[in-house]
Amino acid sequence: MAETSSATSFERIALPRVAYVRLQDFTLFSADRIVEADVPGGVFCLAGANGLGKSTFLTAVNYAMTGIVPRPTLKFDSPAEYLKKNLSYADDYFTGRISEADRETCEICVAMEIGGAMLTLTRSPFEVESLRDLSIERGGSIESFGDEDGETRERLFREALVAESGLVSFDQFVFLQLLVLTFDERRHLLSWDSKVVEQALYLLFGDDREQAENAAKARRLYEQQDSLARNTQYQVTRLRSQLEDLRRVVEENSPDDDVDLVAQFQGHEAVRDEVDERVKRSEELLSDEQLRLNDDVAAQVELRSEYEATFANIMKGTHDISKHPIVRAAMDDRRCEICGSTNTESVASISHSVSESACPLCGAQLSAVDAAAEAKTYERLEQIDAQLEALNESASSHADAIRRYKDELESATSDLDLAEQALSDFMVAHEGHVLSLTAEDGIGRIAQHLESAIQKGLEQKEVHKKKRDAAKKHWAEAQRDVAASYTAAEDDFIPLFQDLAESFLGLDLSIALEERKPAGLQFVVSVGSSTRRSANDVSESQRYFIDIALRMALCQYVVRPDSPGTLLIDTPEGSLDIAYEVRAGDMLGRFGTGGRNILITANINTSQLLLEVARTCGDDRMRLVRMTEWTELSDVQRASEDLFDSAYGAIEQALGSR
Amino acid sequence: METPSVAYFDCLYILSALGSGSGGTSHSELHDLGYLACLLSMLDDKPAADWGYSFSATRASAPFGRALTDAMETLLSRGAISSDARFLLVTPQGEADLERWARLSANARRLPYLRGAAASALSLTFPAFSSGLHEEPQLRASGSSGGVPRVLNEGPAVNLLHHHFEQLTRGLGERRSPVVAGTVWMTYLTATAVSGDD
Repeated sequence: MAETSSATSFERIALPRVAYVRLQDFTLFSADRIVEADVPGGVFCLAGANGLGKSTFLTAVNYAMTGIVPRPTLKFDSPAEYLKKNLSYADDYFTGRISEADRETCEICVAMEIGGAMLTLTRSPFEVESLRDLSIERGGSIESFGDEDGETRERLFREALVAESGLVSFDQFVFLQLLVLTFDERRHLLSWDSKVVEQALYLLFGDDREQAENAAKARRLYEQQDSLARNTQYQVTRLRSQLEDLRRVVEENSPDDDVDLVAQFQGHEAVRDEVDERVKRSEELLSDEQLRLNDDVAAQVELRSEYEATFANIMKGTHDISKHPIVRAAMDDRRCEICGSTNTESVASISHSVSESACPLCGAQLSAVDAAAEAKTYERLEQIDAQLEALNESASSHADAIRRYKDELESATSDLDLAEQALSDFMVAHEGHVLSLTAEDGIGRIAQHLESAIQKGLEQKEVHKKKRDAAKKHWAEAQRDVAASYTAAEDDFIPLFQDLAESFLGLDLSIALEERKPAGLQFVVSVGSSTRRSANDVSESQRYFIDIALRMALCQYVVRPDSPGTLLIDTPEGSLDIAYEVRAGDMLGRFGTGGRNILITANINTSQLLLEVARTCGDDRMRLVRMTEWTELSDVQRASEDLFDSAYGAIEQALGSR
Repeated sequence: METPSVAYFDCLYILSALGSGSGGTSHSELHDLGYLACLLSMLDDKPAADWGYSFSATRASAPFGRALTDAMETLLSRGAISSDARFLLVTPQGEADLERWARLSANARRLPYLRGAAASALSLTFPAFSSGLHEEPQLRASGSSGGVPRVLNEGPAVNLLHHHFEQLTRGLGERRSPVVAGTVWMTYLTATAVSGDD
């Protein structure tokens, strides 16, 4: 159950203490298939030579607790993103450290104590979000989950841990474990990373830990929209530059005699346009004449048909039997042309039949020649003939016009080709001037496109700015809230930090929270009267131990003392001189004896740091493990094994001396 | 199919133009002159189809226009022409019809070619005229291919005809009358028939 801090309204959290570690078939630790260690409270120190796997050990412990190995280059955005983006890196990290033969059987087991529970879990380095084993001990009873699948065990573990911690989500625990409680070989400094500081403050000092993720999202959205707005502005600036370049080129290529060239150009254009008009006109006239000719021809065909029919009627209907050659011969020669008879009665019979309009041969009655009807028919024939003649003349006239327009079209087309060639030649000869002369296409259109793109860019920039400002408002509200909570806690928190840091530095030191735009909240360290805003404003070793002191202070102030977690520190000694080694050791030792826990790796050497920790803690609050027993030493190291033994001996002696 | 009106006119004109000399005009003379008149219109760049009716070559490689025969029979029954066993003559009725029909524009346009044909025939004896006409490239080609009947003024043999026309044009110039062209051409063809060369 979380406790409430005395000075503020936020609730303290519980973090897991590492109680036991077992590594199975972890190739790097080759001395035995299984390497294990109980981790009592206080300081657990794994000391060893270079390259034995000290950092790997710490990473493996953290991996077992969180399920991830952080990518070295990944920047922090939010706890949820940090967990998600690091899930796949463990495979890469462990592949080089665990052989192919051990890949299937390699396991990391960690038992951790948190709140009222002991969580014991086993992970494979190569199975993501899955546990090979899990047991939860509470109130003397142990619940095992051997029958569940790996993903279910993982889920149950996460739920149990979150429930015991007082945090809102598992990714918040991962953030705290890896970025606040762990000081590892990456040397990621909490003090000077505003994003991590802000998130830590939300989680550790905020009234509402639910809001930590929202604040991180608001910050991310702010940064994203700000970046987009700046990028859009950059694009706009580039486009403006291009437009200016374009205008400059046009101006540079338009000297004083431009007026005359403009006139010439316009002259060429005018000629081209005029001839083009002629071509179009000729085409229209030609088309009209062709239509009219077609009309005449169609009318002629119809009239011709009537003409022939009328003529045929004349031929058919005007038979005068008296004019038939046989009858004429009979009448004139008085002789039958058929039998040759000259009988006057026969001839008289023929004459009689003719006068009666009857056929002299068969006696059929013939219709009398209607002279009036025939005259009328002839009249009609003549009328049609006159119309045909008129149509003929009209068609002939249209045919002549068609010939003439075809000639004109051919001539105009040829002239158009010449005019266009002249214009093209002029434009090639005076290329630069053409830039300003053809405003409706070419350069003019390019300029229009650029202007349009610039306008759109400016509009888009405003959209991004609005979104950025809205996100900033939310972020600022969250910042104000957490800053207020921190301020309320300052009176208790700062002395804790000062006590730890001054014990190392030996200098008057203070820390304050500042809001820096646009970075956000950040701790600012003051050493004496000098403010050290940048990490580079202090030496490397000072930097590291100030950072470790801050983490320690946060743990002391925010984390429940009955479930204080374990601070993981990887070879912090660096380039300290002897005096600072002692002070650093004292700082770490006092933390360990104050009811807190440190899991530290260190190089085994003549450093005073471990000796001082050992002296400070004694063997009831510190356990030293010889890492040289876990793995094979190199030839160089084996040759100096007695030196290692001597160093270990000194520390063990220091442990016993308290 | 109706006999085209121009066939009646051609028939009457040819018979009238040749007159009653030698007893009138024979059937074959009628077709020969009708064919020559058509060719003279083609020499004048008129399409063969514009003549109004077509000709074919008989087995004897002589020109035959069906429309002329139909027109002739109708004119006989009308009394516009008369006939004995061999020759045709225009009657006074026929002359009256001819005079009237000559005023119709379609007929008036073909008068130059009919005149040209008639003038060519009248400048030669008929046998000479007939044998000369048989030297016309299409009729000659018809004779060479064994006298198979074929439509005239169509097909590849027309190209030979146009070759003659080009030579005539080159020799006589563009401004030539059909009378002159017809007479010169027939003289040439007749001479060719006599010499046996082309």
